Amino acid sequence: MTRLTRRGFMATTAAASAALGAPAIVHAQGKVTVGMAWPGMQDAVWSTSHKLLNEFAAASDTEIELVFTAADMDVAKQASDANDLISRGVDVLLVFPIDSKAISSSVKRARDAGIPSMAFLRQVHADARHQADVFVGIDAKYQQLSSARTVFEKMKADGAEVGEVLWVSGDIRDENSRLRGVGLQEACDEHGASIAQDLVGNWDPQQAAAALAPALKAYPDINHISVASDVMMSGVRQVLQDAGRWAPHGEPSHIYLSSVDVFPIGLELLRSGHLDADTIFDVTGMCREAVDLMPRLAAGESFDSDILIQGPVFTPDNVDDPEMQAQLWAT
Amino acid sequence: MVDESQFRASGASPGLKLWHWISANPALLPVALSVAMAIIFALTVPKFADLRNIMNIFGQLGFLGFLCIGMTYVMVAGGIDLSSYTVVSASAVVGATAMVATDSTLLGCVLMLAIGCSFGIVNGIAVAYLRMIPFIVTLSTMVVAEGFAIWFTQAQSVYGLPDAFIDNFSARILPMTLGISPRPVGIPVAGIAVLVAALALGFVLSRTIYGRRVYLTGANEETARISGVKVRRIEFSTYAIAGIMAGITAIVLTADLGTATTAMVRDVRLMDIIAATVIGGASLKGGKGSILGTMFGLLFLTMLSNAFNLLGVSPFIAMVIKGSVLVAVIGLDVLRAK
Repeated sequence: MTRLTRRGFMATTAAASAALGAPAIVHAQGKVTVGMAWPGMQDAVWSTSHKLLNEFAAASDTEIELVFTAADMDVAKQASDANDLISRGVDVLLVFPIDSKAISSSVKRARDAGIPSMAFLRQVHADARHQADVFVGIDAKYQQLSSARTVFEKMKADGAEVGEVLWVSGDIRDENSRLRGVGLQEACDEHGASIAQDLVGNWDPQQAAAALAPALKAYPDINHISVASDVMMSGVRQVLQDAGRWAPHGEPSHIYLSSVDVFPIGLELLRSGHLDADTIFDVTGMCREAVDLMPRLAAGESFDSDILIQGPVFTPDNVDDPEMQAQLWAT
Repeated sequence: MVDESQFRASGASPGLKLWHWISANPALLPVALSVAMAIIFALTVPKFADLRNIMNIFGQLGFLGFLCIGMTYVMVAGGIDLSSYTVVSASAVVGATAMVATDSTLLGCVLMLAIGCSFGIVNGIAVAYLRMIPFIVTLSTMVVAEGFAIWFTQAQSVYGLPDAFIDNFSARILPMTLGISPRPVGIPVAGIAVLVAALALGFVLSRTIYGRRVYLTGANEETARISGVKVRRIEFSTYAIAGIMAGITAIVLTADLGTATTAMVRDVRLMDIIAATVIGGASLKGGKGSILGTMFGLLFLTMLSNAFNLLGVSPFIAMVIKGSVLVAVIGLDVLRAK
């Protein structure tokens, strides 16, 4: 399971730390206080990550105290919260940025105070003046790549023709949506397929349905639809039902579906056989990794690349495995 | 209503006398609350009295202080402005975009002030001259400003601002240790700016004829009109001032964050702005309030949030306390009016 859930590539550490062995440094120090500048608690990802971080911190070999603040999606409040945490003298500043550029000023203030910072889930913008010392996030490209790749392999095993794919993307301005599109393109390149049309769903089932319905008529022979998130899956289902193409795997009218996130609707459709592959938005893996890094960051270890978590691919065959079930957080 | 001299001469109990004194001096409550809280927190909350944290609190006053000043003017004149926080974003994104395009700090700042003032003027015309209800007008402007900011930026943050702008307006000057801080800590320019604005606009409100007319307009519009006060002009001017304050907030926040976004200040902070103003002695019915009281009301709320963050207490408990204090102060306002 470890390989499946934590296939993220670990950052290369500084030479000295690597030579000495980072864990040894970690356990030699005392309590680590981590200040969390969170956007809020209203969103499932925010609240779940808060809960999981506390659970992993409690189970950590190092004594870790998490000091939580919530900004209610207010960028200025998040900056104030970060300032308060810096004043408190935390050992590490953990930020879940509301705005990937505005958070840069908090990162700078932390650095000026000698406090290392970790960005969680949303990276400090590449063009921002000051970058966090380490970023822990989801490998969005891998999500779509692994999901689509699984479906292509399944299609080949079934003897189905691998050709064109309809791509139901998220918001065109959203970095996650863009990266998932890159992932799908890579999977297509691997398997000699191509994206027939990019349908902008804006993370909204109605908009996804509105975009998909005419495309399905334009491409009547399409046999694979890749969706950027389960949040749009109800719209996709509606369109396929209306078109008489809503059928589980094994039936002649089945359209192969790959998706991402493993939300409740994704689970339901995996179990019914309508959805063929769904890569999890691995909040659990991300939280585990973040907690592992906290003492190392506090000890002065440096990281020269991002920590991108690659979660497992759920399929109708493994969806009810206990190990896979243990990864679920959005249900 | 008992005259104060009669009240003093009467044999009222010390408690009643104290109540009357507090009622007659509403700014005393936030001052007393803030001082008491500062002493308690300094003694009980680790790092609260550190120089770094004191400057941190002082700097945070600059985030909402200007908006609170604007709200005080509007509320003293008998109105309310719900739009100020979205006007900040609308002003910021326009000014920042100009700054990025031209590399001119001056142009960007002027535009931020102009956009803020424009929204204030629209509010002022609608309320003062078209006699529309302030709550509805500013609620509508709030939506317009938010929609405008999102449309203007396509919900993208504006970044790449001139270094000079960020460095000057978010600077910490005169670094010092005062023998109590391990590292030198500077005074935030934003805090100094809001202090200067509070002193200047506090003087105007409390010591000038214009200020007296603002109070009179809020206390009794009809009486003010009979007394020769150009009520509409006064009401209009308070909304314009609130708009300019939103523009200044846009400058301060954009520099501090290094970017302008559509979510710089959210609706939850509107409660902080109104709470600070009401705790500071302003009445929702108009005619009461002071900049001094408002600034101490804001200081009270800022210290509360700060201490809770330092203690690691849930921010949601802080919200509950803030809301409860606001209800209590409004209740006090009702009692004072009786």
